[in-house]
Parts: sequence; C-alpha cells; structure tokens
Amino acid sequence: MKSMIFDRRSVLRASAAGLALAALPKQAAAQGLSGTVRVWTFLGADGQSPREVVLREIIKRFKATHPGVDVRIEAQPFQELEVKFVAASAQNRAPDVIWMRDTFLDLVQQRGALADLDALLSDDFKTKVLPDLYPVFVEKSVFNKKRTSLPIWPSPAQAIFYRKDALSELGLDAPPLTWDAFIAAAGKLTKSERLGFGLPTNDNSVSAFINILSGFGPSIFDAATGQFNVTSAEAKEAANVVRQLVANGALSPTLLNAMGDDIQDQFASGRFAMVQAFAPRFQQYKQIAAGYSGKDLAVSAWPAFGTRPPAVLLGPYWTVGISAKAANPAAATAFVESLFSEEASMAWAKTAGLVPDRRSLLQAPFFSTPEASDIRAFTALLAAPGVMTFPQRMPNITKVFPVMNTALQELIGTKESVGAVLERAKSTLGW
Amino acid sequence: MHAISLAKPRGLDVVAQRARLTGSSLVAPALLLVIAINILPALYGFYLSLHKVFFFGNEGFVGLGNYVELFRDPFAWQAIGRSLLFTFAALAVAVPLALLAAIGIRRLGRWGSVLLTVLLVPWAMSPIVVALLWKWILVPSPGGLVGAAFNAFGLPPQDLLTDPLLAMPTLIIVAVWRNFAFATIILIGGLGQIPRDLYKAAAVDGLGAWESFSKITLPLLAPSLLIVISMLTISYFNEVQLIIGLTGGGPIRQTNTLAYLLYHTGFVELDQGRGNAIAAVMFLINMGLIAIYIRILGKQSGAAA
Amino acid sequence: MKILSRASLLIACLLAGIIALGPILWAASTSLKPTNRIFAVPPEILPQNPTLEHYAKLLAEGVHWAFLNSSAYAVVAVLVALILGATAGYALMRYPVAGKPAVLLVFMGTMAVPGFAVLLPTQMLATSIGLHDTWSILPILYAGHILPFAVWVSRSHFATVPRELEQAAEMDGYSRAEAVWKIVIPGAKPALLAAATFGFLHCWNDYVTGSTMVDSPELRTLQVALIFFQGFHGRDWGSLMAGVIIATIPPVVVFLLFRKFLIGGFADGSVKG
Repeated sequence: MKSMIFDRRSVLRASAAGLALAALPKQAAAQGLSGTVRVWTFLGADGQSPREVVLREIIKRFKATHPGVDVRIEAQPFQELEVKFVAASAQNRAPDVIWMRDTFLDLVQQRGALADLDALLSDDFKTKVLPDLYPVFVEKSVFNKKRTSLPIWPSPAQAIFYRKDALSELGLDAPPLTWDAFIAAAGKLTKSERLGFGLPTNDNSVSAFINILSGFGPSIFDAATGQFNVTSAEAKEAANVVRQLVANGALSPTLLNAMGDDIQDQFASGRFAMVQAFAPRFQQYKQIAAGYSGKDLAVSAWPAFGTRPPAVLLGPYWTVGISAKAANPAAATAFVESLFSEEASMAWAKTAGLVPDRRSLLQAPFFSTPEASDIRAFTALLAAPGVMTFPQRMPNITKVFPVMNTALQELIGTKESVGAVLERAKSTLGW
Repeated sequence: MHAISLAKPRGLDVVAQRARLTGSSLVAPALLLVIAINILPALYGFYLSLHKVFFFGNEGFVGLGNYVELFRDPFAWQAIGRSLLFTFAALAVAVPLALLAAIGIRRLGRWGSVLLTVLLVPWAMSPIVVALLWKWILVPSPGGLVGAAFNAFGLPPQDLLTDPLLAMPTLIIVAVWRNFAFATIILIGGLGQIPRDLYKAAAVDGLGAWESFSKITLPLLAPSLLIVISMLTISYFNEVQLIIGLTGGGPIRQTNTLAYLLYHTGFVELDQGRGNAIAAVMFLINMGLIAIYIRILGKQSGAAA
Repeated sequence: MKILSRASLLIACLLAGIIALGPILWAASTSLKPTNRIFAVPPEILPQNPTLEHYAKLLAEGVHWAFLNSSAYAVVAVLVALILGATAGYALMRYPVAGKPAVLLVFMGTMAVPGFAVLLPTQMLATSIGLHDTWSILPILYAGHILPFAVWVSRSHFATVPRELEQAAEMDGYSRAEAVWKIVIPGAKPALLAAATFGFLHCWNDYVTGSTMVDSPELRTLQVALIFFQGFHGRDWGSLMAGVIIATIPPVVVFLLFRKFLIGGFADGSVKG
C-alpha cells in the first residue's frame, strides 16, 4: 500500500516536472533547476581511481551548465548499496540517485523505492540517447512498463582472464571455447606451484556454477519462474565439468572458499594460468601484476557445451536509478542524463578503459587505436552470439549465489555424488 | 549509620525514603540510557523474530515460525556445533598460553612488563583490521609472508584459509592471537595475589616445580582462571567479524558458526525475521553462559569472604 | 621453578614478541611498497623502493576526517559512560535503590545481547527519532554499549574505598559530592581508567555500528572508511595496510598511556562484579 502511494506521488511530481521542462526552452529549464542532488554510489567524492576521476569531471561539467544545482556524492561500500538504499527508502531518507546491481533491481523496485524514469527523462534523451545504449541491458530495467534504472558501463560481469604467456606454453593464443578442450588445456596448465584454473567460490553475488551452466545457452533459465533446474541433466553436466577440472589438477581441492578478491590477489602473484574474474577489474588486474607481466593479461568468454557459441552471461552489472522519494527529481534526472552524454562516455572510455555506454561512439577513431584494444576485446564479448542476461526476476536471489557456491565447494572438495550435492542445493533453496 | 538507627521510626522512614530517592535518581540516567540503547532494540528484535521480515518488508506475524524453521534446519544445528568447537578449541589454546605467558612475564620482571605490552598490541586492534591483516599475511603465494616462510622450509605455500582441514584451526589461531593477552593481564593479577610464603614453604617441604604449580598455583588461581574462561567463552562464542573477513563460513560450512549464521541470514540473505530469531537464541545461550559465570563467581566470592 | 632456565625463557619471550608484532611490522612494510611490488616473489621483507604513496592516498581520500570522527566519538562516549557509570555505580554501592536486583539484572543482561543482533532494530528506532546519520548517534550508542561495564567496574571498586574516609571528609566540611570527588574517585582511579581504556577500544574498534548508523561520508568512522579500500576494484593492499597502521596507533597509544592502570585495574579482579 505504502509503496503504491509513493509511486503515485512520484509520478505526479515527475509529470509536473516533465510539463515544466516541455514548456520552457531547454537552456532556460537547465538554468532554472536548483537544489541538491544526493548520489549514492561506490565511487568516492575524493577517490583516486580512474572512474572516480571521470565522475568528478562529469560533475564539474554538470555544475557549469546547472549553476543552481549542487551534486553531493555520498559513497557507500559497494556490496551494501542496495541494502542501505532500501532501508533509507523505507525510513524516508533515501538519496536522489542510486547506483545498484541489476540482480537487486527486482527486489528494490518491488519495495517501490525507484521512480519511473519514463516520466522523468527528457524527450531528447528518450529519442536520442536511450536507443544508443545497449538494448539488452536497457530492457532488463523495465518492469511492467516501468523503467526503473539505466544501465551504466556495459560489460560482461564474470569473464575468464588468462595469461598469454602461460597459454603459449601449449601453443594456444586463447583458452579453448568448448568445455572438453578447455578441461584438457586447464589440466596441462597446472605446473609445479601454478594452477591451471582458479574459481572464486565464496562471493554472495556471483557463482561460477551458473557461469558454467550458461554454456547451455539462455534456455537454462525458465522464462516463467526465472529459476534454473538445479538437478537437471545440464546442471549435472556442469557439475561434472568441475569434477573433471579437479581430477586433472586444474582446480585445487584446498582452494575451496576463495573470494573473487582472493583469486585476484593470487593471480597477481602468478598462482593461476586462468581465472574467473570480475571483468570490470581488468585494469586493476594489470596494475597489480607481480608474478607475471601485466602485458600478458587477456580476457575470454566462457567455454560452452557441444557446438553452442561461447557463453557470455551479463550480470551483475551496474545500473543507475532515481529514488521514488527523490526530493528533487528534476535536478536528479538532469544529473543522471549527464552521465550518459557523449563526453561522459568518451571520458569513461579514455580515462577508465570502459566500454562506452553510447554505442555510436565506437565509430570514433580512438576505438581503433592500440590504446583501446582492451575495450575492443570487451566490445567483442558483448557482441558475441552467446550473450545472455540473468533473468529479470529470479526467486531467492539473495540465497542463490551462496547456496550454489557451497555446492561448488562440495563438488571441488568432496567425493560425494554430483546428484546428492545438487539435490541438497535444491532443497536448501526450496526450489 | 548508627545515628540513623537511633532516630524515631517516622524520621527513619523519611530519611530512608529520601536516600532511596537520591539513590534511584543517581542510577536513573545510566539505567535509562542502557534501556534505550540495549534493551529496547533487543525487545524490538524479538518482536521482529515473530514476523516474516524480508529485506525491510514486514510480511506479517508468524508466531514461532522462524524458530521452528530454524530448529528444523540441520545446518543450524551444525552451526551450533561449529560454534562450540570454535569456542572451546580457542579456549583450550588461549588459556594455557595465557597462563604460560603470565608466569613467564612475572618471572622476567622489568622485561616482562615490556613483553606484556608487546603481547597486548594485537588486543588493541579491531577485529576487522585483524582479519584484513591476517588475510594479507596468509596469502597462499610465495610472495606472502607465511607462504615465504613455508618456502624457506622447501614447502609450497599452504591454503590455510581455504583447506577444509586447516581453515578452522587457522581461524582459531588468529582469534587467540588477537585476545589471549587480555587473559594474561587478569592471570598476572591473580598470580600476584598468591602469597609468596606458600612457595617458600612448599620448597622447604621439598615440593618440585610441577607439584607446587599443581598444588598451590592452580587452586589459588582458580578464581582468576574462571573469570578468564568465562569472558573468553562469551567473546569467542560471539566472534563474527574475523569469520566474515577470513573464511566467510567456508570451506563447506566448516566455519559457519551460529554468530556467522546470524550475519549471513540477516545481512546477506536478508531474511531479517529469521536473523532476529537466531539473535534471540544467541541471547539465551549468552545469558546461560553469564548465569554460569555469576554462579561460579558468586560461590567463589562467598568462599573468599 | 627450574623447568625453564632464564635463557630459554628469554628465547620464548622473544619468539612471543615476534609472533605478536611480526604481522604488524609486515603490514608496515607492505604499506611502504609501491603497488606493483606488493606481490613480489620472493617478498621484500623491507621495501626496496619505499614510498609514502599509500599514506598520501589515504589523506587525499579524506581518511584523516574519519580518523578525527572516530577519536571524537570515542572520547565523548567514554566521558559520558564514565560520568553516568560512576554516578550509578556509587549510588548502587552506597544508597538504597528502587528495584535494585532488577536494575543489576538490566546492566548484566545487556552484556548478553549480541551486538550484531540489535543493529537492525537500533537503526529503525534511531531513524524514528531522527537521530540516524547524525553527529550524535554514534557517541550515544557507544556510551550505551560501554556503560554497563563502567557501572560494574565503578560499583565494585567504590566498595574498596572505606565509607569512613568519606565520612571523615564530610566532617571536615566537605559536601558529600565533594567527598566523593576527593576521596572515592581517586581511590578507584586505576579501575576507572582501566574501564575508560576498555571503553575506548570498544568505540575505536567498532565497525558494524558505525557502518549501519551513519551514511554520510563526513560522519564516517575510520574502520568503515578503511573498507572502501577493499572495494569495487578488489583489495588495495598498500592502502589497506597503511590504514591498518593508522588505525592501530591510537589504541596502542591509549593503551601504553594507561597500561599501568589497565593491569592494576583488572588484575585485582574488578571484572568480578
């Protein structure tokens, strides 16, 4: 009930703002905006990372064109953004603009915490910018015709990072993209203290099990329920991949509950030839490389089963929304729009090495320079035939990843039958 | 006091009442603050434990449903088992170590107090900082501190936090590293209260070192040992920050204690009704431990009087 | 007595010292290495090209403000807890108090509430009275956390100061409050300072309360500020270890200053109650 009231109110407020914007010439509208826009993101106001530098530039530019608006960045720890936001929203102290992961979108929008952007965004933005963003990400934010957020920094979330120097020992340029060949190669890459493959199995928002399963294509997710069948023949096949990787020494049975951060640290020290990695950390991986040369780092899609195309599972990725209770929705909207300007996209790309949100920019000369080769690799992944997203609504989303990760730990560390492990995961989820 | 008892009964009433009023009003500010900050939220938490609360949305009253589900869950029972194992194994390491340190420090004199200061530094650090620090030290790479130490002995780096056999022992060692020195302080105090004459008499009687330890030191140190054991029990039973930072409950639930389960259920799975039910169970267990603590200490101070 | 010869005792102590301090020294060493040398194999025990870049980064990202916040919260909370705790402790010792057993039970029972458990309800209550995300919320909460302990310590230590001394002071013309200030408080000083040290460590080292009760960056505590270096890009070990060093200095200094009282205060069993 509560959430419905707020929805209605925000829609009213939003349409009022929309009318005002439509009535005035554009420049005048921008001049007329005032107040403070509070932004919750994981980027710090004084941060030193490339993304934080770009955000500061964008804010500076925004303030120049909107002198009446103050933008306040209130950085929050990135794993806590959604939880803090929903708590703040329930307690009427939410910020105006919120960064959140797509996996939480459904839960957050169910709480009525997000404004409908279609009522807020300018016509200009809707006709020129929106179609230029990656449709697969854009559409995922629309719930029952309500646009809850805009995706930012298109990227496959979990990719495979590998060392070219290690793979060249086998005469390979890149990891094989079918599981049979991948397993064989990964086993051979294990050598003295180096492991062929490393999987994080203790994060709360990703699970390698689902990435392996995605090698069967989008049909693994039930269109109606958003669930995947934990005990299906496909799931057993995915589990067997893990078992075979352990059997041939590619995965270590003593590396059971490593987090993504642990895998990243150990990769830097040269412990792995290939790992599952959080794709947006590519630059960071290069920077901390010490046990090998950072120049040898490269990215690959996940292998697939049979003759299917290599899998690229999109998500979790970042999206930006506006609070249903925003104190200043018009100014907040103007600021959010400024994050997707061509200048902004160019800056994210040039300074932070990110795939530009605006697809049309890829034609710019910069993206064919050697400097942009990493961006090209990621763009290629996004255009791959095996691209798929995580379902918009998956039940028990806060439990799925930990439960599947424990199952992974059991697959790697015990001799229990694959069926029993998966059965237990299924019953823990209550699916 | 004497003067008061000689006053007339009516006057006594007034005086006693006034004293009572003064006493109560002096206690009131502290009492109100403690109730507001500790008791009210706890009661509210108990109220929430009787509801289905998910991600800040109260979906209605479910009675003892959260508790029933909890006790039906084999993993919850396993978590209680892991809590007991963690608590008592850590105690078994910490108490002898603290005792050894206390005896050594007393014997060292001036240098002993330097050593005590050094040992207490880890205790001054926050659990989250300790977890970060040890995560870094234990990085299973020849580039890590412990990894390099293994290397020096011709061994490969060990996965001390992710090997199902090693994770719990490692966690226990880190927990003990952080706070055993606090136990040492109390034991040093306890040792200081044992009359030296007793040892001299024992030496005259021809008692060996071990005998004088077991016949004099241990029995007379019992009160301090009980304090130490009680405090450490509660501290280890409620330890959660180190587990979040070091093992995340894994590998395969090996370090999934009740305290960690509370964190995971309430803050990761966001099943806040059930999280509060776990909290209530932990509160009861803590109360039980404190009751035992009070009973033992009460008896002991009775004996001392 | 002769089990351990003095020499082996010294060796054992040296070893103990290394185990206690080694990790912290390694953190200090890491904090001085440039980022691309941090994972070097074999490890550099001492940084080959020491740099202060990580400390500079902490400053650039405003961690010093969080440091000041943490200090202010802790000092205020300890003062409030000591004043209220000593008052209540004295009253519980010397005066009849309505419902005394229940009062004692409240102070004692509070110690059984797992800190983690009350976070969510506390947050909801704090919001409902408008204190969430304000300057005052953390000092108030911390004071509430350490108050039961302060009451306990004061109560048991005031008991060791004979009532006759107080009465003698009152005979000399001091008021009762003055007598308490001049006679009782100094008598219990070691225990009170021990409780203060203990309380300071609790406040300074808190993470969970700080991270749930405050959202504004300028109100943030140090422990929460450090978590940002274990963020979206993975762990920035150089900055994290610089943070570990900085976060460890104040409690160690406080502890060194009050070490004598800490050992004295706890040694005679003040925690008995």
